[in-house]
Amino acid sequence: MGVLNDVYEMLNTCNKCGFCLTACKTYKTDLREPLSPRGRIQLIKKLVDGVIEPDQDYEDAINSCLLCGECAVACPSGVKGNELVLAARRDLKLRHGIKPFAKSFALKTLASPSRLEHGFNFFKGVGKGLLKRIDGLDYFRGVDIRNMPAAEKPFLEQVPEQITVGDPQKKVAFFVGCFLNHSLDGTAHSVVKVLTKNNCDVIIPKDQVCCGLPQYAYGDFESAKANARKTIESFLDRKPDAVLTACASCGSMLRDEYLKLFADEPGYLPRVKEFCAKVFEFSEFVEDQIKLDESKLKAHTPVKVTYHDPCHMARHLKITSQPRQVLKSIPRLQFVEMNEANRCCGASGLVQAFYHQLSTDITRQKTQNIVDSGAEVVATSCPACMLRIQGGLNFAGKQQTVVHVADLLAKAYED
Amino acid sequence: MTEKDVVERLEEIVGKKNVQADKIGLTSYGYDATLLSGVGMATVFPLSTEHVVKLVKLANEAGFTLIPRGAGTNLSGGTIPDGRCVTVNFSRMKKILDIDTENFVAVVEPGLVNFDLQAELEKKGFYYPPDPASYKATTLGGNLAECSGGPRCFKYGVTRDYILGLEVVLPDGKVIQTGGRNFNSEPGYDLTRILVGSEGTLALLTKIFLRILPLPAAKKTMLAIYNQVEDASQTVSDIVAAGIVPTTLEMMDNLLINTAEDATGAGLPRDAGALLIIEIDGHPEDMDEQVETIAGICKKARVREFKMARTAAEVDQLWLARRVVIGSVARRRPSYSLQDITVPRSMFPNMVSGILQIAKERNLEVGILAHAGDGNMHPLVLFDQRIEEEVERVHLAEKDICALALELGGTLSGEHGIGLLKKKYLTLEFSPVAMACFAKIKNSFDPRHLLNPGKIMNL
Ligand SMILES: Cc1cc2nc3c(=O)[nH]c(=O)nc-3n(C[C@H](O)[C@H](O)[C@H](O)COP(=O)(O)OP(=O)(O)OC[C@H]3O[C@@H](n4cnc5c(N)ncnc54)[C@H](O)[C@@H]3O)c2cc1C
Ligand code: SF4
Ligand code: SF4
Repeated sequence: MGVLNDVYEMLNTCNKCGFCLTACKTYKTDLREPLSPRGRIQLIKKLVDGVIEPDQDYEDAINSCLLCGECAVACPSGVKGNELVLAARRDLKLRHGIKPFAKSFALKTLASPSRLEHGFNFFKGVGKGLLKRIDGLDYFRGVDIRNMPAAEKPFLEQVPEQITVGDPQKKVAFFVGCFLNHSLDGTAHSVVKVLTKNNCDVIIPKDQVCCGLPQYAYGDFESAKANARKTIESFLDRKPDAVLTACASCGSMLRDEYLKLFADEPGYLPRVKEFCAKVFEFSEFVEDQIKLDESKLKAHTPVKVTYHDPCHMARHLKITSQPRQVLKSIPRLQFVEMNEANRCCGASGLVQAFYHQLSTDITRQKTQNIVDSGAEVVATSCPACMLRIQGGLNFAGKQQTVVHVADLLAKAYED
Repeated sequence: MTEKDVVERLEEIVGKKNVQADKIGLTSYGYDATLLSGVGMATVFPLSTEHVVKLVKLANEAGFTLIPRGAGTNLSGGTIPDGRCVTVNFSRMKKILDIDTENFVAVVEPGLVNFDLQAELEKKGFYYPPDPASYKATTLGGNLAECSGGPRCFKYGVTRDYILGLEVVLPDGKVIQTGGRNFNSEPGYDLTRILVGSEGTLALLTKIFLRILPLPAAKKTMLAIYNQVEDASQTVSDIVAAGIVPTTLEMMDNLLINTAEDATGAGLPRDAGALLIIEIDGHPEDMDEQVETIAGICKKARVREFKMARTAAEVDQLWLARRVVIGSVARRRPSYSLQDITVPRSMFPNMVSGILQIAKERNLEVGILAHAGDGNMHPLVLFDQRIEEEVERVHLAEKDICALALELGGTLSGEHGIGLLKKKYLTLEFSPVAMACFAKIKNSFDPRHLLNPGKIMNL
């Protein structure tokens, strides 16, 4: 119970005013109290108070949370619902490991690079073919599997460990992340292109692993720590000026959550801090750290683009203006805002797999907002959102495509 | 009928997906925004009037009671279940049935959230004036059952003034419609007005006909900052005496300025004794003159600083700060007791100084929030529920505050309802004859005490 006792004062600060209800996509979609921030917080408190047991219904309330952080923004009392849910998941993990089996299998697979590769290989070969043949399974759990990209071989095997430019201004170590490595390798290439075009040496450590967020999000701090330690050591060894990621989720883990994860290891903390201070998200780096020379950007066919703020960008990293600035600097790109641009797309790690109906309903709201904006292209900053939203658009029979901000920028350097 | 049978019958009526009877669900529907809690048998989510009718018939047949519920944000214990009862949660009956801008009418289901209606109306250049600070979460059914007010109610009135008609299910399962789209008052007894503010004790609302208004052509939002709370309350009296009717005249004292600032970072002056948020609306050409008059009155009452919000963002910041006040006090202490009293405007300064005196005598921290224009005041007494001795002092202070309000010719509930929490004070305000009259009304609608039993009064 230690973890939950540590947050008891915050649990007790929730005065049940309900101001967070409207902010929460799972509540607004399902409309039952246990799927609201207030509901989740009160259940956690009742668990500590010994009024309820951690049964399956309790776990569903806790595990269906998107960790989007909207409730924390809305709460007048300063209660951070997402952090309390995280503590509750940690508590569940300590009680009995992660249930159900499939979830724990998925998380272990993510944590280990070799298993992850096997997983993707299976998916590329037999798995995807098999699923394709079964009618109706194409849109398996709201993820458009038929059209989901899978890299021919992992990005890390496609590139050398070091890419140098003539007159380097900065030495950047690129944290690729699982999704760009295995699925959206094109985006990873876009990132490298933008960096080299802007006179940065790029180091791509071959021994990099998953950042640890998926395990952390379900309370498996031990696995998360192991991966975090590998990451920190591998990257600091290369003595880069900056550690760059094009995945908002990895970014929030690398820059902010590592500090919390190691709060109980004061001896190691200075090294963690040294690492975290070097972490930048792609558009943040481009806007704030290198001066984008707009005269080098070429004009292509005009295109109308809108931007989706990933939860980890808007509320964790708090980076919202930079990606828009990058987009606006691209010639002949017409930028339009969509309604609710910063609301969750419904992906949220494994929530989309285990609460797929809920997740699909939330994605539908996102795709509707995209369609209403009139944009042809949706840019965003997180590969998980990219896959989720593209799947949702395909599912709805819409023509819009989803790309990374880096993809559009890299294209502007092409002839 | 056993509890299990009841749940099965409920599932037959609304479908499995619309019943929640597990332990988690019972806990989750056991509380509202007060410190009270209870446990019932199940929660159901009707989707139509027909569902509600069947639920009521089942309740009669199987002998259980019904607790209507919207978003559960009421401040009076109005949705607390107790024993053999089923919570009827209206959150999934949330359709907008019609927005008729020609006749200024909207027809909605009761589970629709106030804010969601406002967003749709705004697209058409309209709005619905009653906007409780909790409007982003609360349902229109809950608003109606509590007769909620909001910051705008000084000029525009409370929920009661915007309800044209209702469709309700009576406790015997019969459906009636009261009032309707027509503006004129109803012939016969005004059933609509009896049902507004009835706290779910007389009938279940299934459809609401609301009066809507076009958005005002112009609006000005001002902030007046004072060293002393007495000066702010003097300003309130003077503005009203000058015949000006702002839409909003909200007062916050030093403690609340600080907790609201913690919550929003809106730039409120932490050292001020009190502040007033003043908003006026009307024709663009009248605005400047009114602002000048108000500025003059503030100056006379020793205002420290008088500001106009220049941009929409500045206006939003001020409003955000105002709306979060009640919740934000939890940053200081985990529990609060909130009174909802209204005194004649002329007595406003006396009430304020009286509350400060009571706080001092009982050695408690009190923040004062007031919809000052109409004398409605929310003293927030801060404490920690876990400290018994302090809780006792809080109860004494509550009693003092209520007694003082009545002594000054006021009333106990401006807008939050009686529910369970304020029941004990109701007899202070009403004579036994009036209380008997209440009981007769309740009994004529609900002779078997099927709906929200124990709320408002014991029978
Ligand atoms: C921080 C905070 C600020 C607040 N600010 C204000 C304010 O400025 N002004 C104000 O007036 N109030 C305010 N309130 C009080 C509260 O928000 C209102 O009373 C609101 O109208 C309750 O709506 P609800 O949907 O939450 O209803 P609930 O709390 O769910 O229910 C309220 C009552 O309505 C009944 N009810 C609900 N639906 C139906 C139905 N369909 N048929 C019959 N009965 C029904 C219930 O039985 C209950 O008695 C505030 C509350 C909080 C926590
Ligand atoms: S988390 Fe915050 S906003 Fe939500 S009910 Fe609790 S105090 Fe209110
Ligand atoms: S983090 Fe998001 S999904 Fe989870 S409770 Fe808060 S608002 Fe809801």
